[in-house]
Amino acid sequence: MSQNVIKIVLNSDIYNLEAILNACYAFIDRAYVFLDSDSKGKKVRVSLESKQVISAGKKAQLRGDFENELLYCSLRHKIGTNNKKIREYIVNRAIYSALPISSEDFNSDALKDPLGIAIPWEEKYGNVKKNNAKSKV
Amino acid sequence: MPLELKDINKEKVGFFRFKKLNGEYLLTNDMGGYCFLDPIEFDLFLIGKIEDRSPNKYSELIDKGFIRDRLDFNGLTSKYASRNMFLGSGPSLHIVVVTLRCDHKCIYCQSGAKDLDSTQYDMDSRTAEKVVDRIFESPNSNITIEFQGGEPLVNFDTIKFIVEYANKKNKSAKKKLLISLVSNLTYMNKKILTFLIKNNVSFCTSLDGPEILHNKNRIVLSTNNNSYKNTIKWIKRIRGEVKKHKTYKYRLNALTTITKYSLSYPREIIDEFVALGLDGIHLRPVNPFGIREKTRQKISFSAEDFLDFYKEALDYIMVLNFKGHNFYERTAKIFLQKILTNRDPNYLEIRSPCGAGTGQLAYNFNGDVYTCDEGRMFSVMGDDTFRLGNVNKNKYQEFIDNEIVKILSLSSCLDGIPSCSDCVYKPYCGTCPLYNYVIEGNIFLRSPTNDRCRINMSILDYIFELLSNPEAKAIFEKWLGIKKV
Repeated sequence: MSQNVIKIVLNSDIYNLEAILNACYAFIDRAYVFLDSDSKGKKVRVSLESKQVISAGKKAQLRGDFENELLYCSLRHKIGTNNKKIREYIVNRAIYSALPISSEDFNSDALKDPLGIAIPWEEKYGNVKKNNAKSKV
Repeated sequence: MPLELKDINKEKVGFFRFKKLNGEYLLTNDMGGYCFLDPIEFDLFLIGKIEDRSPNKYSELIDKGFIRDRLDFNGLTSKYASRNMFLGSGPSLHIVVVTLRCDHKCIYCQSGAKDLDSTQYDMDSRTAEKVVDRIFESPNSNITIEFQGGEPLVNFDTIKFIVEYANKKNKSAKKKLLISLVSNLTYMNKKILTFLIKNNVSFCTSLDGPEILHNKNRIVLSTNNNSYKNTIKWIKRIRGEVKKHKTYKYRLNALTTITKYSLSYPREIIDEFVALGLDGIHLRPVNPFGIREKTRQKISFSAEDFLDFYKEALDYIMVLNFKGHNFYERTAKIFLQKILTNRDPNYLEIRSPCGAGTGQLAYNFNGDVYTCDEGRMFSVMGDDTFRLGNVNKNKYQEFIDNEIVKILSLSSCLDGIPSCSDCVYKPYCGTCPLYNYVIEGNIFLRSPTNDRCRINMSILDYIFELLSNPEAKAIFEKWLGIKKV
């Protein structure tokens, strides 16, 4: 059994936990994955157990593929964080500008103003002010 | 002595991406500006002292937004907005598959073509009406309806219905409507041609090159038909007919699909197009969608093989242009429009984010709606991941406000992809998440192992190499209709 197991210890100062989880998840079709950490939470231990019996060469390839996936996920996480604002802006604009403004939105309650928020101050309180002013005098 | 990070003049140096190309540094930025600097100029630019040695380069760098303390914010903002205009529009391209029936059995067929007697794969008029209704719900003021198949002319009745109904609806919608037919022309006849010309439908056919190559790629089911001869006959006839109609405004196009068999014929393929008087050619490598793995391996090729072919073909096209022909290559033209102008050509696979759902929608014969034609091709392989709904059951909003559209937008936004976000060609490039999915099993691009990325980067390298030759640049400007001031 142990010949199918690859153990990798990762420094959590270098690899973000989200990136580690993403990389592990990408391997669940090929391996059973188990994660653990040391008591200080500085080291993350990854155990990949191949679902099939594999040769030494295939084992080395699986390890290499995992390490490359880890690098990819780390970079994607970093770039995703750095460029979050611009990505969100672009994608929101692309999607929401593709949606038509529904005529139902205008016909329904959207234009009703039960609290009178849209009524100008002068129109709403103009007379009251005058009355108040008079009463003070 | 190499520069250190602390030597960089942060007051002078604006944001840029770069790469070393043929001994010079190519710089680009998000407003699409580019500039070549030699190694000494590059160092001087970084320490903020290029003005003294190369005042002309300094002016060019200011104009293009590379000098931080001389940024023209208004000008640069409007350039950025213009280059990304497609973000504020919604789907303009609507691909309508009116039938899956076809008389051809092309070796690279992606559409899941069915036999001619399988009429259950035709779109009926009730579905066609709903399709047109959904199309006109797109907020885009430019609408293109593109008929595809199968062979669309097999179901001409539905084409006729859609053309008439769309034109009728457009009387009140007042959109800029373009209707286009992509056909192998086998079922073209005088009556159909007259109707299509009268209704301003544009034509696009498939022509893979000389007869031996075309017929090897595009096999017909009937032994009485020669695909090449029929295509050539109708290309000539359509070109002749449209000349008689002064109000007709389109020129016939032909698509080429490059398979392994095409690689030996770069010049012959181009000669075929030039001899027919076509305006240009689009050298597109065969797509991996909808094709069985065994067939794909038989007809596909390495990125390197394609690039050798492409460069030989582009060199030949340039020679023809130097001799006075005005003939373009479309991939190069798409990139050049992004490099030399502030107008994006809105080519849906080469934009960020890609056009899946937000730039195009594909409607299958049964009313099923997909993010794009590639998404529909996946359904041919039994994978309905990219299906957004059905015109008979869902509203237009449900197609767009959909998790699939969102994730495809996110995964094709180059700002979030390792390598792409830093790539010198980021302002001009794009990725197709569906291509990435079929090749690598993941919609997120992994550029170091992705052939399409390698092809785009090498083509852009070559274009920028050619751009440093003023005569070649003049030809490129002619392709784009840029007039010298």
